[in-house]
Amino acid sequence: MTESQIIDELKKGNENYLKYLYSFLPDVRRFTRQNNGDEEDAKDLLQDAIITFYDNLRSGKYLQSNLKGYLLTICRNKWLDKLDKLKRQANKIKDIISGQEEAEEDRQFEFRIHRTSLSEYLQEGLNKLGEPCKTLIEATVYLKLRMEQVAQDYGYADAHSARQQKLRCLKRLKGFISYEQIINLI
Amino acid sequence: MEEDLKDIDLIDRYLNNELDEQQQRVFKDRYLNDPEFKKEVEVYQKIYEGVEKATRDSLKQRLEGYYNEYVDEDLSIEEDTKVVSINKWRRTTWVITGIAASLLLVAAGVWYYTLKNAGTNQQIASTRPANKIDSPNVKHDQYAGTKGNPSKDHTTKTGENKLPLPTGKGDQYGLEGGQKVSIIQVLQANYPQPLFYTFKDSLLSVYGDPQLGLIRLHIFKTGNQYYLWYDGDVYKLDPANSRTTLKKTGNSEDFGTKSPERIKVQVEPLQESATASAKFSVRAIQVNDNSYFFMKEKGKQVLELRGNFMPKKCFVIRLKKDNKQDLYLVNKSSVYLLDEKNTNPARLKELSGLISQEARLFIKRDAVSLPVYIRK
Repeated sequence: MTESQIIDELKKGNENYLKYLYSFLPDVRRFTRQNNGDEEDAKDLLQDAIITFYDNLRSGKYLQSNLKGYLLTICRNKWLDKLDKLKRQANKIKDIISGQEEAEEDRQFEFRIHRTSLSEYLQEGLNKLGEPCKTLIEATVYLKLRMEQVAQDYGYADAHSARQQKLRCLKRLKGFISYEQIINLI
Repeated sequence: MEEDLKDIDLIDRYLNNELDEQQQRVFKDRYLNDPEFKKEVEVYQKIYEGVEKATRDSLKQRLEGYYNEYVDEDLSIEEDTKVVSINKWRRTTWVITGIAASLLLVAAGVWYYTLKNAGTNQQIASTRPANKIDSPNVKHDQYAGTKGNPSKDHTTKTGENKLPLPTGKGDQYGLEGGQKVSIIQVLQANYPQPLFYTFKDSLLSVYGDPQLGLIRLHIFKTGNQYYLWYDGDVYKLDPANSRTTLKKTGNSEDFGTKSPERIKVQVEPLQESATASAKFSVRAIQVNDNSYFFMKEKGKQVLELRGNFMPKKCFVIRLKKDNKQDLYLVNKSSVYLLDEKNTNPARLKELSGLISQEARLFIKRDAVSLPVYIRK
C-alpha cells in the first residue's frame, strides 16, 4: 500500500484505509520516547493527527504531497503543546500541594464524573435523526463544507436547496433535545 | 425561505459569523428582548458544539477499531515511487558498459534470471496452473498461448487465454552493438470486465476489477460454504485453483457476525486478467535514456523503448475502456501513456495514480487480511 493509494481510497470513501496510517506509529514513538512519553502517548498523538488530516482531506484543505511528513509534523507540534501543558500542570500541582486549590479541584471532578457528556447526548440525537440528515449536519457543522460543495457531493439541485435541507435537519434534531438538559452539559 | 426555518436560518448565520453589521445589531436586539429567541440561540450553540464533539468522538471510536486492525494485520506503507532502485541500476549499467567484463556479467545475469524464473514459475504454477507463454522467440509469437498450452483454463467463461505476469520467459538477451535488448510482452484488456477468482489455502484472489473497494467487501461462511459479500450482493466461493467466474447468488444486507478466522484477499491488477495481443511487438534497448517511438519493420509495427525496462517487471498493455483504446507502458509501479502516432523518439511521461484512474488499474495492491463472518 502506498500513500497515494491510501489517499485515493479515502477520497472514495473507504474510511478503513485510515488503519494503514498507524504504520507511522514507530516514528511517533521515537520522539515521544525521547521526551519521556509512553506507548499510549504515541498512539494518542497519532490518532489526533489522523483526525486532523482526515478532516482536512474531507473538507478539501489537504494539499500536501508528503503524508508521512505532514502527520509527523502535527504529532511533533501537539507533543510540544502537551509538554508545555504538563509543565504548567506541574507548577499547579505545586500550588495545590501548598494547599490553595485543593478543595475547589475536588468538587469540580466530582461534578463531572457522573454525567452524560454533551458528546454522548448529541451522538444519541444524531443517531435518532438518521440519514441523510446525520451526514448532512456532519458535513456542514463539523467539516464546515461550503454549501455549493455539499450540493455537489450529496446530490442536491443547488446550494440553496442543500441549505434548506440542512436547516430542516437541524430543526428536527432540535426536536429531540431538551433545553434544560443540554444547557448544563459539557 | 420557508417561514418556520427563518429563525434557524438567522441563528445558523450568526453562529457561522455570516451576519453583516446591520444584521448583527438586529440580532443582538432580539436576543436581549425576546427570551424565547435567546433560549433558541443557546440551544443551537450547544447543538453545534455537541455535533463537533460527537462527530470527533465517534471518529475516535472508529479509529480505535482501525488501530486494532493495524495491529492484527501488521500493515505497512511503501514509498510511492521506487526511483532509488532504478537509479542504482542505471549507475551500475554505466560502469559496466563498454568493459569487456560486461559479457561475463550478462552471462551471469542470464544464469541468475533463469534460476530466479524457475522459482517464480513454480510459484505461479501452484496458484495458477494454466497459461504460460511457452515460445518466447524473437518474433514473439503472441499466439503461443493458444497453440501450445497444455493446461488450458476451462473455467473461464470467455475461453480466452490469460497470460500470467511476470513471465520472465520473454527475455531475449543479446548484444546489439554492446546494448542489451529485451522483448517486452504486449497485452490487451477491457475494462470493465467480468469478475473471476481463485480461492485456495485461505487466499482469495479476485481478477477483473482492480478498483474493488475492500471496505465494502466481506467474506462470510454458512456451514462450510464460503461467500463473498460485496455492496449487498452475495457471490458463492468454492475452492478454486484456477480462475473461476464469480457468480452472484443473491443479495442481502446481512453478512453475519465476525469470527476469529481470517482470509487474505488479493485484488489483482488488470494485467493479471489481460490477454495477449499480436498487433505489434516491443523491443526494449537498455540505454541511459527514457524514450520511445513506433516504426515499421518488415511490414510489422514495432515499438522501441529505450531505458531500463526489464521484461520481468515491464509490459505494454492496450486498454479498451469507455469506447476508447489507449496504450500504456507499465514498469514496476510506474505507468506511462504511449502515443502510437509517435514515429520519432519521444519522452516517456509518467502518469500519476492520484489523477489517472487508468494508471491505478495496473498498480498491484497489497493483499489484505479480512475477518470471516459467520452467518446462520
